[in-house]
Amino acid sequence: MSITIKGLSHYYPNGKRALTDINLEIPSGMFGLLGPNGAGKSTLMRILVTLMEPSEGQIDVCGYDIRTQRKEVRRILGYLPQDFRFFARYKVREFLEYAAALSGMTNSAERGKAVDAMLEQVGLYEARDRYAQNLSGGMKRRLGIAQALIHKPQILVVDEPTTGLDPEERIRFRNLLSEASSKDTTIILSTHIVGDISSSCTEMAMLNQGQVMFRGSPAGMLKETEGKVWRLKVTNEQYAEINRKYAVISTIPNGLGWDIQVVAKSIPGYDAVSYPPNLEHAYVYFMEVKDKE
Amino acid sequence: MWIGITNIRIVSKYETKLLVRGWFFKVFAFLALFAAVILGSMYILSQYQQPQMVNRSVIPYMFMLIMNVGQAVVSVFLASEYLKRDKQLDTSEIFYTRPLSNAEYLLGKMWATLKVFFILDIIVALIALIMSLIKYGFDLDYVSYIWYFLLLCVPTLVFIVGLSTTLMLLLNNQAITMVILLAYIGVTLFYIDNVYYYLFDYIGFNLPMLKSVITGFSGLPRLINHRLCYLLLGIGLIFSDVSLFHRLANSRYSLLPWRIATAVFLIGGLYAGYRHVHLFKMDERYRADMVELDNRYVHTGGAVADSCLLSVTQNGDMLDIRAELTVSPRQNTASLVFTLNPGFKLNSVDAPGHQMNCERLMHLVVLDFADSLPAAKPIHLIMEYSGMADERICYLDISADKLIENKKALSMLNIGKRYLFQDRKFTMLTPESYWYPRPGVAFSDKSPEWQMSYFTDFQINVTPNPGLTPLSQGHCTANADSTSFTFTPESSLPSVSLLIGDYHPKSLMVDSTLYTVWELGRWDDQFEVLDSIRDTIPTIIRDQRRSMEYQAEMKYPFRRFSFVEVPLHFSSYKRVWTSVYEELQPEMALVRERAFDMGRFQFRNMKRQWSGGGRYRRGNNNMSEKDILINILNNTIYFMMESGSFSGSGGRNGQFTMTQVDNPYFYRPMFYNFRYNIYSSDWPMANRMVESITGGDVSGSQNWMRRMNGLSEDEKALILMGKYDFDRIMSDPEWEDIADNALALKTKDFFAPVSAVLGYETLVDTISALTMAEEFANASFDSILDWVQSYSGVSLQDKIDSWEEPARLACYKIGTPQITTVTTDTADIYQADVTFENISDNPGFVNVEFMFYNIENAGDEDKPKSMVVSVGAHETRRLVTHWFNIPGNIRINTMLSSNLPHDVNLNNSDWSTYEGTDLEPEGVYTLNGSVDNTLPGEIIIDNEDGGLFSLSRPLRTGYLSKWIDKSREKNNDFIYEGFSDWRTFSQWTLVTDQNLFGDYIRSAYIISPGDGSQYARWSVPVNVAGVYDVYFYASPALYSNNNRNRRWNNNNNNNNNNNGRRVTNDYNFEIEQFNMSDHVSMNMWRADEGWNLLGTFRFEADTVRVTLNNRSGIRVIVADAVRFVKRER
Repeated sequence: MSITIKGLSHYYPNGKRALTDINLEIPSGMFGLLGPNGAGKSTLMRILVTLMEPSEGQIDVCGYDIRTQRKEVRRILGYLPQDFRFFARYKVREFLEYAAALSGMTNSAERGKAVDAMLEQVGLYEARDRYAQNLSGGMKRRLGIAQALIHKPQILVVDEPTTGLDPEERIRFRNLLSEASSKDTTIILSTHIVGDISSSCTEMAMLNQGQVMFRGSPAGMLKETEGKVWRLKVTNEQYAEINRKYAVISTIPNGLGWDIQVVAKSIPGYDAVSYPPNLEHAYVYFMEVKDKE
Repeated sequence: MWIGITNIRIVSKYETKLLVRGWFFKVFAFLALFAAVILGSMYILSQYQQPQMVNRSVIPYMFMLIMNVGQAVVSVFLASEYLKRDKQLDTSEIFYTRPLSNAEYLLGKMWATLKVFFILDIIVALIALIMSLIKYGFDLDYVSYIWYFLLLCVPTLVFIVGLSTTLMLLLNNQAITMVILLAYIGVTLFYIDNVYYYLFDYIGFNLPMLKSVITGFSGLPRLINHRLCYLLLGIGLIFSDVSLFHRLANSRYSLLPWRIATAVFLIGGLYAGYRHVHLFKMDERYRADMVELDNRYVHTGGAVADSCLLSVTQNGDMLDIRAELTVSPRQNTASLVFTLNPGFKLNSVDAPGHQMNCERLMHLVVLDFADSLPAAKPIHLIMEYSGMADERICYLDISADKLIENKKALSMLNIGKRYLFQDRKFTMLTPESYWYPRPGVAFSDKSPEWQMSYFTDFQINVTPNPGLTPLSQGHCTANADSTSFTFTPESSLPSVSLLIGDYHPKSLMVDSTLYTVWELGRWDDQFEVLDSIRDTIPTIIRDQRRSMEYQAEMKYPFRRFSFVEVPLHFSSYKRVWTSVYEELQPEMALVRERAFDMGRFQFRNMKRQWSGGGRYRRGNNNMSEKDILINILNNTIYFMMESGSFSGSGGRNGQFTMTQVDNPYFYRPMFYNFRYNIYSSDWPMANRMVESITGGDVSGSQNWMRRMNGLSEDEKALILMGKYDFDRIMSDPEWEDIADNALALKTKDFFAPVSAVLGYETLVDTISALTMAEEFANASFDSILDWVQSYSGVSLQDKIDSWEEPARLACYKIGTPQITTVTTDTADIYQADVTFENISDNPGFVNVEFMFYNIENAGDEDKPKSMVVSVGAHETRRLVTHWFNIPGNIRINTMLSSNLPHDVNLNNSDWSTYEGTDLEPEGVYTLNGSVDNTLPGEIIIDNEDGGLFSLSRPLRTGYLSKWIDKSREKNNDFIYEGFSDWRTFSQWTLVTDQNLFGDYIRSAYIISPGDGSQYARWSVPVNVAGVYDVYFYASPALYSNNNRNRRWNNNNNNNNNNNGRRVTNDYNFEIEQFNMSDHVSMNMWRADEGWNLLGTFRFEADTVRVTLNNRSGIRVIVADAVRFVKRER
């Protein structure tokens, strides 16, 4: 395993619990960390990238203890923070060079070549002499992934990377990550966008309120959700009652009432038809149904 | 602890880019470079060179100092901005997750800040260097550029960057951090100054750092220690940032070494700071111990050194000296005490034919003899000593505050003070260093006996280090190979000095006197400029010498005179007990290197300035080059005839204080002090007293100075003398500027009973004659006293007995002088009557001097024009004198009195003139009754009349103003303030002036014009109902400087006040009784000096209130006195 997390808990100074007894094993490849805002994803990410020290528990990153061997962990780590928008007055190439140099690429000629290659790879070569703060949102995010990958890290942590990107940039970004994961790099992708996971990750975990709700593959998650997604036609009065009792995930008006989709173990008393789940249904199942059990 | 230099370098490289791209740094860099160019144009490239520019370290010092202050401020912004940005930019986190350590990251950032400023410093230094090369060629002090960079810029920047980042990390708020730091910088620059010996001056703004070309820095080890203090503290603070930085360390224990390093550097810095203060404190304690020791021995074993043979061998830095002395005890004694510099180790003492025990106590050599030594019987002593002279013995009488007081060049460059020099290349030992044993102690604050000095026959043999030339007093002979020199003065001297250095002479023999300029090293030759007037120089010297001798009424007594170059740090102080400054030594004047502070000696520069026109030419644009050079040389030599200059310091609301600054090179000691010596075992100040009365007193201030300062120095001295023991006035450092005046007044008063009998001029002539009869010898003051007393028949015993007590000040009312013209058969005779009434319980003396406009006619008056009149307590006396010419002025000096002004100069507008037929015999008459300048039925209320005069409350209400005023309040002996054209008076201010009205204090309250809300009120008690003329006492002299100004204002009678309302040059009065009020205006430009009629009014028998408000267009409102004169029906 690339990363092993055992009994990880974290409390903020005000006593608020951010993570509770997290146990995870993260293998090589693209690993998705799914969960709503405030689930503890970013806290877990920041602990993994050595920006925060956990209150309890152990984390082993490629054989290094994250508490005592931060330097070694940092050496094999690439990180793209959640908000990656505000830059100092560096040009694109300078910024990447700085990041590369700090990651141990001390030979300036080699560093220069690597930087240029990376800029080509992320499609920023033409923009290399522009000030980074003047780039568009998508370009900034690409520059972000470039700095995270410039030193060919074994572990890449990306926190909510596609938030705010247009569909084209999002696809482009996912492809960049997929490309990176094919080079024996463990990528931890933290997101609340289910589509990011479904399109890229082979393994995933789902967090809610600081706890792991699910650990497995997206397929496994779908499997657990099979038979829990229902489709039914209801009147206005019925809709109100169902909406109060179950997790309604879509509503379409049909003239007489509503065609709705509901995630629930069963809906007794209604003429509900089982429906094949997708990852969003699974996400709702785990958040709204299973979590409340 | 492992840190990767590569990582630091990388961080620093990229952070530097950020810094230089910031607008803040760009603006600062531009301003710095711009300032450097402007500064260079002003000081280096300018045609009009400041004299100080001859010292080539002035430029790097000035440039680095100004840069340093600027960057100390700017670096605060940049350093805190750094961390603020780290906090704000989310992209910083990607750097935090890199494998570099906290130390590497932070040190990289700090180094980036330091680097950009250092580079800027170097660029500015290069600008200065290039400009200097253009102007001065290669004759530069290159090393000083590095020194000032290291001493000023490096510690300041490291400290302030460390402090600002640490504060930023602790407070986590950029605004608060900057407010704290900028306040700290402001306090350092403008308030702390030399507190704790400059300890808090981290910028080095006030540290004395000017470098001498001859001897380098003054006190370099202490300077380095001071700067090291801030460098270490700065490094410690930067290291502390590694621990305080909000980023997880690479490993659990990686911060420990930095915490230890922080502690080590901070402790090191604090220790250096402690050491800095400790060394000064130790010096002070050592000096205090020396004074304590002197106090113990001040009365022990007084003696006179009749002869002194000094054999000096220079041995590297050290001196080996053998002193052979012949001393005569002043009284029978078994002990003799000598003062010898405590730095010298006393190797042996021998008194052939006598058994004795020698004790070396700090700076004293105490010899206890087995048998008592009879008074005046000479004894032979041999002392051998060696070592390095210790500077701490110098100026024991000068306070520690005064010693550390800033001495600045060009208003910003602080110059260290040195009093002696001793190293292998240059040695300077003046008498102040006690480089040879002198009888008595160095200084005592318990008894003035230490002040006595005597003439001694000196001879000095010197063997200097190879290649060096020694200088001292007397005729110099060298041995065959010029390795040993002997100095033999032609006469006894009060002291000798020794200078050894790489001296090169430029000599000229004029009328059997050898004039020499001794230069150290070979500077650019200033004297080449004078080549074209080489033949004229002897004539110039001869003429100037004659002028000096004419002014001194004495001949120059020595066969040689030298200007001797010494390092610029050489400093001296004004002493209460002598008018001699250490700059003047018998036969020589010590001039600071390359005439650093005496532009008149820089002939090249002077020539350039004269040739360029400007103020030097004063309209003589057709002067030939020769004329210019002759003028320059005359001007240069003439400076020795100037007793001093004036120095002003500004204050609040345009307040300006003038002080008289002595010229330490004033020629008189050369003619008098090194030639005559009056001594007295009972009167240690005898020499100074005689010097004062025979013409050495150059104290006293002029009337314009008195106006500015509020009181003259004499008046201040009198106020103090009335309150405190004389000894305290003479010893309190706070009053050292006034001590001279106190002594002169005391001396005049001491001899006043004799002056009243013999006449002041006769007294002075007699004392001068008695003094000068004993040339180069020790004359007894007691014999002068005996002669004076026997000749005049006046006993001075009372004065002697009460010498130390506070002065009993008299108060005089001075009657209006009368001049009566009596026509006789042969000529018109003018009889002058001046009357004085002493209204105090203390007897006193008044000096009256008659001055004549026409000097030629005044020659007819072949009698003393200055006379002293004795006026007993509550006695009225009248002085009657006859003159062939009408006096131009009568100057009345009330000597030891409370009168203000103490010196009144009356002219024809102040006296009454009459025609008469009979002359009264000349003399001083005692009158019955009092001086009464008032008329019958007249009531005068003056501002000094307590309850009858009142003022409005000040307008100030702002808390800040109140607080500032309160903070400035102090217990002041001097309540009267000065006034000047540019000063504003926001509230009523008490001033004195001879043009004002008063019985014995001629004072008034003044205020600047305003809206009329401020007023002065006289409450006049009218006892008899009737018709009264009401007068106001006007003093146009206070608001009108000259007639032209007055006429102009007269024609333009209306002005606008601040509110745009039309106001006039009137004073506005309300005259009020029983709620009936009359408004009276008086045009003050048309007012006469003295009483001016406001109007005629009928009053009942009750109080009348006269109110003057401050609504006027005139420069100042003067509230002095009102007069009511009852009209007879």
